[in-house]
Amino acid sequence: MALLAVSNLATEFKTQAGPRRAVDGVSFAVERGEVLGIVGESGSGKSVTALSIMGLIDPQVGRIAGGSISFDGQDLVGLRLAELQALRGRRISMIFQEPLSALNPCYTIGDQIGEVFVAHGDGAGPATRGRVLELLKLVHIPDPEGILRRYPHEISGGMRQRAMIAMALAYTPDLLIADEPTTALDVTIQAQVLNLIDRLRRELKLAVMLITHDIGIVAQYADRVAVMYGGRIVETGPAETLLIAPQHPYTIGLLASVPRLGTGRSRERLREIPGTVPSITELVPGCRFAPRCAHRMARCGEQAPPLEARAAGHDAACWWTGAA
Amino acid sequence: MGILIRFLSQALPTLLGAVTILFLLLRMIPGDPAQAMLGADATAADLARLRQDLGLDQPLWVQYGVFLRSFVVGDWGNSIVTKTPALERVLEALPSTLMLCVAAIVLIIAISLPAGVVSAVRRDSWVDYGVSLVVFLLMSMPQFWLGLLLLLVLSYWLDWFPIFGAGEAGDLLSQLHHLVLPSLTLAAGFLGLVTRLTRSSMLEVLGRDYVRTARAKGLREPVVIVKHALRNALLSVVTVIGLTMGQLLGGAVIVEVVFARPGVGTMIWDAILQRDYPQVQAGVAVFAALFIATNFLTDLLYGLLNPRIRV
Ligand SMILES: Nc1ncnc2c1ncn2[C@@H]1O[C@H](COP(=O)(O)OP(=O)(O)OP(=O)(O)O)[C@@H](O)[C@H]1O
Ligand SMILES: [Mg+2]
Repeated sequence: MALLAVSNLATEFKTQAGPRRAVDGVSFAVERGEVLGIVGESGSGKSVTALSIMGLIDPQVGRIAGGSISFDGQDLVGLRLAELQALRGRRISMIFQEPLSALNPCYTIGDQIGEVFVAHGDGAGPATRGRVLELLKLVHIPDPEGILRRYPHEISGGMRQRAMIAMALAYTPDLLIADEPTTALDVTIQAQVLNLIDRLRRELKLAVMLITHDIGIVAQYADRVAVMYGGRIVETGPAETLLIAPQHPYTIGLLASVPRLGTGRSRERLREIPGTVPSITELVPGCRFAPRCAHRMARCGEQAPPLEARAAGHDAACWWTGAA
Repeated sequence: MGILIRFLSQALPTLLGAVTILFLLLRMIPGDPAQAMLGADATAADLARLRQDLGLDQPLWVQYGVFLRSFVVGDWGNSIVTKTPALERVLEALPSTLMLCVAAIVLIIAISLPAGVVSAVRRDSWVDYGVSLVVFLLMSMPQFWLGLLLLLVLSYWLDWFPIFGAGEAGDLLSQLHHLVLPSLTLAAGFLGLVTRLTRSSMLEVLGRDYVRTARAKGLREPVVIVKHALRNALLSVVTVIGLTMGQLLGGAVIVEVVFARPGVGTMIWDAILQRDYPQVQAGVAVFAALFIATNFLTDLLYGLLNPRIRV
């Protein structure tokens, strides 16, 4: 059984036009020790998927409207807050895109990492301090003693993201959700941080959900890939086959916009698919990618294509089958 | 060291500016101080002599120089009414006024912070609407009017609180009893402001990424809200509380007069009515110094709370 099995997840937000789905019927699974890459342009629902798993959708503005999130056999949807809190930071951890804003400016790095132990009942004290130091060493922070006493604004972006990772690893979680962990970093630092995550997942047997809009990163680090568009998964499969023989025009477009895999940033190049992701208030009938699709057919605007197998473990949601 | 430099470069010039304005204001008040001091039946010769004694026949800039000199050396003159040193009388009245202000600040913090936090955390709930309504009422009520209303209902009709005075000297309980209504009245004008501000800064901070991180770590809600959100929201709240100190001191004058409570406020008030200029001058100068001191302390506190500007 998979460690995490998300099935038919739907997450909606309140809008002026009523509730609208940012994630609409998403299903995927992550095995222990596996990296699942989730890729898609800005606004495709990657973060909302991650936050839904964490139970961090702000109830004032949104809710999980349907589906299930089975984690180690337990459904996280509808779980009591106290039970969720016991899982967060202990068995499921998350790191965020912008480490500067994700860290509290008023507390030292040591305090913010140590807090995870306090939250899960291990108290603060010399033992905790020792564990924090070990974590900082684990993520290869030079001068861990010094960093402990620093405030987030006093250290570099790369160090901040390492500190975030250290925080996420406090209890060696089963699942690590990394939401665009390197988007805010320089290219060289980006590679260091990703290599660190890769090393840790092998050493600690973590399951990793690596969210990115850079398909180059996915090619390098993911075992399996899920491509998201408009709140749905449009294609999913093992990294090798999906990247070599993409089936969905959106995936093809993403790949075509990267001249050489694994080099540099792709923010600008991603725009080479004409048009933009629809906002959640735009009601696109049928396939949501159809308005931007080069292979659009009449049927695409009427009926949403289901995810169907194209090869072993490789599914695509598209009426067009010309890629095969 | 940095603190000393900041004190010298910020607080001192402000104080100088304040006493200069005070000097000019007192000279702009219509009427002749000499006449006021000697009374309506003084002879022209007496008036002329007193003017000479007071230096009122000198050009304004000379008067200013003399004024500054005596101000700096602490020779603030005698009250015309009691003939005792003006500064001494102010310092005697000061503890009562400080007690009133401190009580008001304690009330503001004890009421407004929790109210603001709760209405932010439960935004758009009945609690939030209730708090907003009370805030609206408080902000639209003039202070003296609220004071009179409280007096009428709680003291006159219900007889729960004393009507005037500051309580027996040395009897803390009686003093606190006398403090309740005045400090509540003084606080009232600021409760609304600080509650609203706390609510809006909390709302802003609750949407920040680090609050999400705190939740993602498995922290419980009270810890998330107080340790992570409130701590950051306090940065702007502290500044505003500090900046309203001037208004608080001004409000203390009105409250002391309404409640016939001894203090610097009533003293200045009486001195104005009696045209006791040295006394007014001393009272207002001490208020100005207090005001500047609180602003300075606010700055220091902000620096302590905010690691990003800590030196
Ligand atoms: N709190 C919210 N209230 C309303 N709409 C939201 C909220 N959070 C996200 N959305 C909407 O949900 C959709 C998906 O957002 P999401 O943040 O998951 O995108 P993403 O794939 O993570 O993009 P990015 O690469 O920019 O992080 C977007 O259209 C966004 O506007
Ligand atoms: Mg995102």
